[in-house]
Amino acid sequence: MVPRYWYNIVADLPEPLPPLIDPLDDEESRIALLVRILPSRLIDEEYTLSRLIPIPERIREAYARAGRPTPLLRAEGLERALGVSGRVRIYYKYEGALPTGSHKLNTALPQVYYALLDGAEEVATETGAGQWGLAVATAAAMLGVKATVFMTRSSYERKKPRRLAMQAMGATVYPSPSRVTEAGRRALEERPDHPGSLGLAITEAIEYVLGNPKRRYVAGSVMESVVTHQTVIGQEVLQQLPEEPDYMVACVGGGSNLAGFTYPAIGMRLRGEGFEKTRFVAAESAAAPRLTKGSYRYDGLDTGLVLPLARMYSLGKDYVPPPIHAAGLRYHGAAASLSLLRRLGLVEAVAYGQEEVFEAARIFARSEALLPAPESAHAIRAVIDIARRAPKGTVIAFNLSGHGLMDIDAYETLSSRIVEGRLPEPTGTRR
Amino acid sequence: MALSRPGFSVYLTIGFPEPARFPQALEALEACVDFYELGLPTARPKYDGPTVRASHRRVVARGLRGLEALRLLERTSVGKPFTLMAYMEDYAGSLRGLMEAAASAGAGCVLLPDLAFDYPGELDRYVEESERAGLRPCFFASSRFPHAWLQRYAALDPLYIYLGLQPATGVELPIAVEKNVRLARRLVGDRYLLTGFAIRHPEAAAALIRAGADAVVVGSAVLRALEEGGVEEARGLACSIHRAVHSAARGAA
Repeated sequence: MVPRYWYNIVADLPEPLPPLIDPLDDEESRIALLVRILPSRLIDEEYTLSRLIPIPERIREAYARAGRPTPLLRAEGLERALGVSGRVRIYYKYEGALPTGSHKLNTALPQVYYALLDGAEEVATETGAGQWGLAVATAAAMLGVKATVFMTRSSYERKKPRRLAMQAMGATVYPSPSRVTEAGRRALEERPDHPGSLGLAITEAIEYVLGNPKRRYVAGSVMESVVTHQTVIGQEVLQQLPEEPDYMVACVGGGSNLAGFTYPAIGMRLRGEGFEKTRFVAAESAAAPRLTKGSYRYDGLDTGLVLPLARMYSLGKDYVPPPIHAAGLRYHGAAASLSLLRRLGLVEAVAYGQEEVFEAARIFARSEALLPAPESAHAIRAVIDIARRAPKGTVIAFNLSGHGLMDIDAYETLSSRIVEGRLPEPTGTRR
Repeated sequence: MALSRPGFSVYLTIGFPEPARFPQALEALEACVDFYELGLPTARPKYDGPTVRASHRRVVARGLRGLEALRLLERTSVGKPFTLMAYMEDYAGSLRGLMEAAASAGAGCVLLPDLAFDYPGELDRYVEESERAGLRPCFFASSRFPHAWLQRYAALDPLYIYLGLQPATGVELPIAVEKNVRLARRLVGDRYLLTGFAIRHPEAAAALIRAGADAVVVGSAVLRALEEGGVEEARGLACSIHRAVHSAARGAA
């Protein structure tokens, strides 16, 4: 059954969540600007004391139509391929079963619905690999709202299938940096070959929204309300798992995927209701290693500092990650609640390069007959590493956040070079 | 020090709008407040909204900051109970001095809005130092806050628990604040629940009392009124909210 509530972990955190703040010297408040940017009901969910947030009936129906609950599968093929059959049991939640091929629809639907409740005629957002952009385009098409997507330029050029799918749904897609906004034009002047970054694309989308009161911004990750929407995944997992896992693993961009998968279980742990032995593992890209190499501090959510500052693990708002294929993992920061859990040691983190990630993706594709998205393959990499060294009886659960059928360009580009050992690892830059 | 139920409080940064005019502002507001919340001027009011930030900047620019501001209180007749607001960041190494100075000035407690967020491990030390100085603790909570922490606050017998309803002082977003007040009330039992942030109108203050708050504090709106309309305008605003708070409580009784 589709859950009736989203779970807000803030109510159970071991320490209070540091608030969003304005830069000290600002005469005006960026926090106050949120009312012009975000759907009002999303803001309310961002600032609620409630542990459980009722899911509007219209969204529950949409979730059901979209295929929720998504399946929890036993990865017996992977267990055999790794030679751990009978020793390690691996389960995965398959969010790629949703119509847009990833978990992102879980929050796109309510956010677009909330924008509609505000009388908005258009929603705008940013996207990396296009999973989030496609989810927004789909939700907008379902609910009858126009969608505009700023897609990081490197992905715009490489991820043609998702771009075309967004456009087929009726969305307008701009490469970011674009010439549509002042922020984009400025970035292009500084660096004409700018590959784009999620932080910059966010700034562009927000500037675009502020240009017309009938527009609303919809957020793909990082915000607590977005993270909360994704907890439908983890709540279903609690119903579906036949046994309590030793590890729960998911990939991390801004953090909503991992949070959605693990927070209901972490919440039980924090309330003393179970999951005492479970280790929660975040798998991120070595190209944007915020949780493993970033610092815990107040930083901008977007490159242009239009939004307030959040305390999070960050590589710096100006960090420009290299154009990797797992473009959804290129964000410079992580959700505040996830960052706090990481700082407190309740969530562990590992970072992987493209080569080892795609090797894991190939193992999974051949053993499970399912092509994972490059982002999700980071989680698979971590699962493989854990499984190979795990003692007998270990149970691992991970979130397969999306399929890779629209990332076939990545497999085409990388597979031969990986085999030949010629794939250089990318490195990021600071502007 | 005990606080009346219901209560209406005004927040003022000590020394605002000008050190010389601050006593006059206090005196003008006195008839329409049950207690004051007075802020020690700081260069880094990081969790405050734009109006309160500006008030700190202005007072600090006049050369008044920190505990020096208490000298201004010594020369002023504060006719109502008051509590102090300060940032732990400024006093992390001199908490005992802060508490002793606050007690000596006659404050009921010292509210440290950054304590729970930036110094969560210092909560017990704060309570000990408060009690050592003869003060009661008072605590800040936000509208997204762990339930266990609210219950922990309640168990520490505070003078009040201050629930910040909005993301920052003076900033109003579309948040179901009354729902949060009702939930906070359930979590803190009968402890004194003070609510604040972006309350500008008597109706909003009354609704909070009806939702279960014991008291309401208004800061940014009064600071703006002082700045733009002078003490009479600030007094008019304070008196209208004071009336609304007390009549809402009578209606609820």
